Amino acid sequence: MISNLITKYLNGDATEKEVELIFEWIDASEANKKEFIALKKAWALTEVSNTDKDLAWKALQNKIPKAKPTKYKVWIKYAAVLVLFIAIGRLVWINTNQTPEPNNTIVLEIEGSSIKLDSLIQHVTDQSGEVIAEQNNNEIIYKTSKTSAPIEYHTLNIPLGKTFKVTLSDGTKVYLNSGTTFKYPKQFSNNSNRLVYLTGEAFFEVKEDKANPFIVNINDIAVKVLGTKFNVNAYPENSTTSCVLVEGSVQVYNLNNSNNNALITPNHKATWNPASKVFNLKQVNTHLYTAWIHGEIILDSAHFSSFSKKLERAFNVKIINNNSLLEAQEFSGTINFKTSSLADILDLLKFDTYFDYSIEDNQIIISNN
Amino acid sequence: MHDYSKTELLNFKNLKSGNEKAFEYFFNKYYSHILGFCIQFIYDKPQSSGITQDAFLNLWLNKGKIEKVSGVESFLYTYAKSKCLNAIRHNQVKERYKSKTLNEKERELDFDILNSMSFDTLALSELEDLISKSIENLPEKTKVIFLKKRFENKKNQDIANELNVTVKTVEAHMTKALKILRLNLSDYLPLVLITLILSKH
Repeated sequence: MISNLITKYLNGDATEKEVELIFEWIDASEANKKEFIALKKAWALTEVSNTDKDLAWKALQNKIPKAKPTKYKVWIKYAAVLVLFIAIGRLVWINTNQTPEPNNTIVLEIEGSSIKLDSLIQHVTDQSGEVIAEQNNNEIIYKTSKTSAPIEYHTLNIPLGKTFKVTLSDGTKVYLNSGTTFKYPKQFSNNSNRLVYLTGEAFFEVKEDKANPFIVNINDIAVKVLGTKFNVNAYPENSTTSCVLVEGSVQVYNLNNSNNNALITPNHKATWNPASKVFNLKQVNTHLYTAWIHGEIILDSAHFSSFSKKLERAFNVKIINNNSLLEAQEFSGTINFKTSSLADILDLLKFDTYFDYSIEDNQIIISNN
Repeated sequence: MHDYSKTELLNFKNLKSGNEKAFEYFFNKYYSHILGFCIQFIYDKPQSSGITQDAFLNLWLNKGKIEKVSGVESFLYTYAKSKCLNAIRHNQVKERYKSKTLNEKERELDFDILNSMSFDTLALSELEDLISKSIENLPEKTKVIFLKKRFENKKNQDIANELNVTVKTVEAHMTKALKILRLNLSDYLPLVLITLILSKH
């Protein structure tokens, strides 16, 4: 009798009622427990999942570090003439072969060519063949340096569904959220402002350097800092740009009229409305704004529409909600989008407020029921 | 003891020197097993696929440290085990039941089971040999049904139709197969029990 149930359970076919019976039986004696454990172990070791291995292999292949970048580095070290050729070759290859590929790799634009940052470890070298940065999984770290030569800019493009971290040559750390473009100098100048450009969302831990203020340009405004931690949200589809300060002090100002400015103190958010050209200051809980760095979305009595955009970016999907009841509901809690699948998260929400949804291509459609 | 074929040893040698083809050989050999193992504790295929992919990725990164051909499988299972334990510890495992107590009980038990599993190369190969021998020695009909169910993932109803027997018969054979396996594996039980008792206090 119980053996039958256990077989059913291990096979994932047992009903909740039956599972309850099994657990009662397990709790009844140490011998029962021992027997169950032995069965589950045998089961787990003989379990084979029939799945598309080819697909899994392709996905894995894309992740394993290739020997290629090192070769590339060696070439340009010894043959400067080759650089241009390789750079063009890469570019052409990117333009032709890469077009059908979905846009899901992090790309570093550097001196007219693009480097895919999809390996586990790779060195990024400049024209002279010198290693200027090292990519390690989801992070790129620039060598500490300064220059008196004209500044050269690098650009990082983070696709939807990915996040990334960059340590700049001055030691400033920048966390980049999905769908973000960040432009920054390869090396900062000895004696001028440290100027960077952002579209999207980023969290900055700026290295202090009073002589060379750090300035983030976002469309028509700038954030000027001296050494501090803050989050900037400036996605193009948002009508406003916001800056949340965790530590230190920053000034935000309109690039067309620097007299139109505001000083932000910790735990405050400044919101810029480009239409009315006004900065609005508000006290906030900064954790809500910086949770994404740890792969989390914190909900504090949040309506579905207020975080569905975040889910869209984190999973590179489009969510269409036709369920008014779901929208009316408020959710509190933490969603971990790095370790959970979108289906898991939707299941969790469903547990609170039931809804049906269908998936078509990259669209999640929540029906009205 | 496990006997490894020449192909296996050659592939292992090539894996260590960074040959992707050799890596693919081991991937094909163990992928479905590691994934199946994770699903038994995580109950979610996408999440388990992630862990399995990570296990292989880390096998590739640590290939230099693996000393024996048997170490490949041992590495993969050990990695999967620790990731599954982590997921349970951090409550990232799918809640399968409405009852909170039941979910908690399952998690606790799964945690203990995983914790008690040792994947050092000797234990693993012995245990696997034992399991495959036990399956080999099952009565013919029981064996056919067990293999169809476990390795082809067929539903009871499909097996019943295929073999022209009732679903009840299929269930009875599965139960019989498990009883025999349990009997053969009983040598491994005292160890499990001791670990369990020790970890409880």
